[in-house]
Amino acid sequence: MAITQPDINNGLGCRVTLWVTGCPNHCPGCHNPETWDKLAGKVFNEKAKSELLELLKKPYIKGLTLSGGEPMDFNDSDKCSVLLDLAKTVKTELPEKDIWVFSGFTLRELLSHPSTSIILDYVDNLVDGRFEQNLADKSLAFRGSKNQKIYHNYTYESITGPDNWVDKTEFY
Amino acid sequence: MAENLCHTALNKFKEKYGVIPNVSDKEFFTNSMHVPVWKEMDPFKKIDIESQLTGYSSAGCITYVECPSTSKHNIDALEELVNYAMDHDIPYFAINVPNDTCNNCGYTDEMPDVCPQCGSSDIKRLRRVTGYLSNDYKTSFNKGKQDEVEHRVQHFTH
Repeated sequence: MAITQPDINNGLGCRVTLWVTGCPNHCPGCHNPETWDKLAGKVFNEKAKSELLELLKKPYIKGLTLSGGEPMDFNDSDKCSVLLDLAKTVKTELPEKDIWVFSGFTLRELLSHPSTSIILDYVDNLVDGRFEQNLADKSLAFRGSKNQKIYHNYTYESITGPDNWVDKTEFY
Repeated sequence: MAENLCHTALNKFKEKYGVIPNVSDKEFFTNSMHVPVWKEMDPFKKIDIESQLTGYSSAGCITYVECPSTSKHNIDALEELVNYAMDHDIPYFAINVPNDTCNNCGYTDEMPDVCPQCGSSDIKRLRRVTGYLSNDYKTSFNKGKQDEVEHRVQHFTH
């Protein structure tokens, strides 16, 4: 893993970004192939977690971004439990901060696996889908290719309904 | 430092004192209220430092932050920067965003070497160097200011 801040390219506002290494997707043309190897970078331990939370406390930091690599690898139970714990901690200790996630999987895929759908309960915004080279467009906000979508989770705004995730791509 | 003085004063200095590392080893002097332009630093830290100095000047004390062109998608971040600068009593604040235009096809964005749309290398590089947005910095400014622009770094992670 690696932590960068303040980051303005991966979600609205100035953010702290956790780059989660390890990716099963390997999209051709990937922006960060150095993050495919799960052992790349540093180990995310308790010390790294408390450093991350300290950075998030700065008043000008809007929230946490999880990117990678693939932060939402539903087959990697260790990764899922660490990120679930992190997301819960952020939402409990720093409820004013929002969480953005960048995943190569689609929202439907992530919701269909219990290990990732439980993390999504704590996530505010999801940018989903593989990077497709033939749909790449450098002018897009927060996305690499046109198939990717930006969803907002309305759970926190207490809009109840069968689907709390709404496609807001056109607003960015 | 102002348009012409940054180079003129440096030449006069060199005539008298020669080349001193980190003082007169470039083609320009950095404004005395600025963090060295080549220093990699997050924008909030830069404002923290420069805001301690700008109060001593009655003019010419702009504080600026170099942003990537992608910042146009992130108005929330720019607002946070402006608020932070105002909270620190910065009297004169600028956000510098590279704005390149391809003279061949008209595509506009930050471009490294060639236009990503047509491959042309005939690119007009618009930068806020000093004062206001003007023409291509390669033709509008003296050697000192050109050298300064090339030493500038962006203040966000990228």
